[in-house]
Amino acid sequence: MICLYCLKNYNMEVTWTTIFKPGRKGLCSECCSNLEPIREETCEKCGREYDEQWFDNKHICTDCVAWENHPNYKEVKIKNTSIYKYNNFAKEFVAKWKYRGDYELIYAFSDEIKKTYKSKYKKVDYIITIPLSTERSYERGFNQSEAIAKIMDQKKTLKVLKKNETNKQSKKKKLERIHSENPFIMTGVKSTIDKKVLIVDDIYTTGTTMYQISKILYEAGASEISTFALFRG
Amino acid sequence: MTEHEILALLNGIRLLADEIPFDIQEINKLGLIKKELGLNNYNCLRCGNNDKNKFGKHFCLRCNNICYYCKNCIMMGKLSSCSELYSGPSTNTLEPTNKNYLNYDGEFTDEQKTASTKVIETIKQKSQLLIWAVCGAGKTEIIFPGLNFALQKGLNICLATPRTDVVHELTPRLKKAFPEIEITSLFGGSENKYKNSPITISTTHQLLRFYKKFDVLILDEIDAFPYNYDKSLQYAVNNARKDDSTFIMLSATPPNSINYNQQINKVIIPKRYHGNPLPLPKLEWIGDWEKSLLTKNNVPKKLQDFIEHSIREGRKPIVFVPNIPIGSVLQDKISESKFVYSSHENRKRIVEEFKEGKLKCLITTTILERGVTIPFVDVAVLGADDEIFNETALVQIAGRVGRKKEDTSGRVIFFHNGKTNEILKSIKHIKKINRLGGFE
Ligand SMILES: [Zn+2]
Ligand SMILES: [Zn+2]
Ligand SMILES: [Zn+2]
Repeated sequence: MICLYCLKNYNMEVTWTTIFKPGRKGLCSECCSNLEPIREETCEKCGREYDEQWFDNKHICTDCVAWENHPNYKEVKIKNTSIYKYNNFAKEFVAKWKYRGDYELIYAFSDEIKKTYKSKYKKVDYIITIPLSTERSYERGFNQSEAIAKIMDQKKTLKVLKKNETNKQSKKKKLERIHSENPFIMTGVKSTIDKKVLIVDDIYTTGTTMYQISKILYEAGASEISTFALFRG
Repeated sequence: MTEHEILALLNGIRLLADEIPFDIQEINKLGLIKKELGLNNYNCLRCGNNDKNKFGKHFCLRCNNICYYCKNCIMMGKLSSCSELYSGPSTNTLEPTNKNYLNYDGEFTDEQKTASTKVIETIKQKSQLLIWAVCGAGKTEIIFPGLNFALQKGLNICLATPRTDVVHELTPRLKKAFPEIEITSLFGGSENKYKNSPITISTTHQLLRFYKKFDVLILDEIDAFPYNYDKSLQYAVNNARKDDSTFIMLSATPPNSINYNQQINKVIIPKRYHGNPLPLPKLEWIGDWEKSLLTKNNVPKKLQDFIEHSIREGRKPIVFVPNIPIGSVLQDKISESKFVYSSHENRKRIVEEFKEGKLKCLITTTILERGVTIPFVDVAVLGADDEIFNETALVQIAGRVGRKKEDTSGRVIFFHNGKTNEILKSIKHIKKINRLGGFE
């Protein structure tokens, strides 16, 4: 077997999974050991692992408290699940996957993603993917959110969002926009009314993207919104 | 964008469209620029990868199709089925002349003279040559007259080596020997990107972007890690050479595949330039030292004696270790010592400090096994029976000792817990070389 990430040959332990799924792709034990799974005690909203420096109380982290007080997002309730911490190895991994374009690296997490999907999101009606700008799509050659959704359930994947790329404005104005305007637009307005939806992304860092999209879906009448990000920054 | 700029950018260089800062439509109109598809089934044109397991595929948003990509060279920019590679003809920078470019007044031994004449002949004939030179034979100097000859003919020269350290060592030496010649050094992270100079000094890795650029390619340490097993680097070397070109290989321990290749001429220099033999390593059994070092922090007594003895005589002890944990423990236990390994950020500076005498003892992994010349060193290998120390590595390590005229003595000790075949082969190798050099 060749490790998906470092391309070194390694011996995979023979287990029931490897017997039933020959040719399954994975990471060598050294690369695996660099990943830090998020432990059970987490922020109830964003799924960040409990750590004194980010928490004033046991249940909700300081980031999420700040979001609760944000005037634009008062009505948005976030319920995020992440699997791994966004540590240095994860950063290098994501850089190679997303920016270098090594699409197949995501297969290293297929089993974990499927497991989480089956245990938590079986009842969702749609998996909502996050759009890229035309320029980014061309640069990367793939959409990272769609790559994860495809592993969960391609049939439930719904592409109803578009990135707003209308007017070119000066840099300063762009910065202002980030704070006030939502860069996403809904293209299929009626499809999510009264539906349970799951928004899927690779990393949850500030939460901005998840809040912006949740808000649009909430306004479009979704009955239940949850989010999944492979890594929590 | 002018035609001139494009030809200068792609002068003997092959790049992806993504790497070219000009309008691709315009480039396609230029007759001199060659355009090729980057992948051909499971064959990467850029790095030579043809291992099915090292390709990936996905639905590509560029070409709206299932697209394959090479994982082996993805760090140089992704090359997919829908990518095209652009290359231009290589031009030479110097006009032919009779002028002498070489500034070197060292004397050659008879063996060095013979070898350097062979180098010039090989360049004239555009053929292949292996120079098998014992460590400390002065193999860099041997090629100087050949380089001068090639420069006079206006040829493009490349010196390639598997190691960044060696690029750093060779660059100032060549600049000194050829003061008028512009020299470009390329290594991972270097800023000096692909200039069109008469002489390029490059790591073998950085060669991957050259395409039929060089008239003379000299490959140092053909036996060294990682060239001897990475076939993509061999592929790069062949791509970087012009079809009709000279290929010269240098080695102190050539692999059999090259040594026995009938198409390659050979010249052997068994004697060091100061005329003394290679030091014969002493073998010292020290039992299960590793357990006692890692669990109880006990430095083997015989190793301690070796270091103290060396320092007392005003010499510089280097200890080679098989891995990083062992090196780290030793560094903590031996006073005024420092440990260097390949990913160490201050590695160059520490080696300098040791050369200048600011450090008493240097501990290193095999990264210093080659290319480093420090006078007055004694060398110990701790755990010479570890599999990382093969025949080649052990011969190279012994060759670190006694390289300078003013210091031809110096000790080499292999500390072990059982003699391996590789240890015995290295001893045999050194004896044979010394016999060829006329020492009994
Ligand atoms: Zn939180
Ligand atoms: Zn390749
Ligand atoms: Zn494509």
